[in-house]
Amino acid sequence: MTTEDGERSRSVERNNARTRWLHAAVYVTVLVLLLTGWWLTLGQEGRPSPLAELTRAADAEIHTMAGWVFAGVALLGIVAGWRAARTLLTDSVRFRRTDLRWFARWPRAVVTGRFGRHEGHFDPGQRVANLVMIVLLLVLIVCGIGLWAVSGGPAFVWFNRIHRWATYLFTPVIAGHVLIAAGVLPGYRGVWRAMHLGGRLRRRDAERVWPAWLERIDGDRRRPPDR
Amino acid sequence: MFRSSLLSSVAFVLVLAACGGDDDASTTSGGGDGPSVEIVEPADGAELGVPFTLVVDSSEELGTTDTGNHHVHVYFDGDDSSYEVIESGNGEEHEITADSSALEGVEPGEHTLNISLRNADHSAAGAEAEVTVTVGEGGRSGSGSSDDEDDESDDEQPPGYDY
Repeated sequence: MTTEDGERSRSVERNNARTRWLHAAVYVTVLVLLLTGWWLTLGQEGRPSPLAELTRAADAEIHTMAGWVFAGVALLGIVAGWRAARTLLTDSVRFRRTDLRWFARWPRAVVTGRFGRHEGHFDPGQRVANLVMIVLLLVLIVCGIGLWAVSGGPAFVWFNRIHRWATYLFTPVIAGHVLIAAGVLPGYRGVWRAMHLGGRLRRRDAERVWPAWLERIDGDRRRPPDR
Repeated sequence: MFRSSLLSSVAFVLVLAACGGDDDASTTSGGGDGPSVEIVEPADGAELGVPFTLVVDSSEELGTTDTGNHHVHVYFDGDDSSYEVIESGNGEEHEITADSSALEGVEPGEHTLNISLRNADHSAAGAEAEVTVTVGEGGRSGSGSSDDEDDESDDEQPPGYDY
């Protein structure tokens, strides 16, 4: 067995290349949108942000353009990856009684890594975050298109108000997601690999965070192919 | 053929309309029934100190983005990468100070002062105006006129030490 084979046997692929690319496109555009959006919200309009300096375009223009790119990426994700989108949605809305135990143990588990058992593809906290992010991103897209379509006036005031409040709610959720996904918290150490580079994470990390998913993957591997 | 003739005629009429304006007023675009905006102060050819007073007048009500109203972008030499935002006070005086983003990179000398009427979503509303002004040395107080030479001697006085 070569070193590479050894590495592969100790790791497991969580996300394929297509999912990882889609995720990367989403977070790059969301990052641009958050940066330019907050820059404008904090009263810096007219003073170019580092990104505006770099691109020689106004922050408002960059924000609008990135918004269109994001809407396109979201649409592409739903159309081209409808199966993955369906899995994301169906697993995120499924909650079981045992998930309550997981939530109860979670505050300590982020430090100790001793999470409660759950049966989902995503952990219960991830499922809540997924739903909140999906709903808020949809609201942000719809209101963003509304803002662009009306340009000003009474309807603009409402679209702007909802767009702002959705951003206020979305920002801490995405910050929490980044904090967890980055693996800064000991319980989530190593999970960043699931969405980056080869999308393979160490088996011991998968076992700790997504135990039932790992068992299903292993079960599928052992099962003889259907004839 | 008909289309190109029509376009040429329209362009010719627009050029004539632009040339036929009052020399003292700011050059404006966006006439007709659409929104309009003009620079009331400083006048075309004025010498400006910093800070200087700017007065804009628009056919549209001005306000912050939250109100859904229009606002005005102020910048120099057609470079709208950094600009000052006027969100209130149609026809009122606004002070453009030395730390205004509109003045970033503007050296003393002759410049074009541009304003652009914007929709609440920051897209262009189709009305712009400009005047040619001479910007004096920065940091000196002025109100858009050039009659503040008296201040110069004060600037150069050493502090009054008492030995």
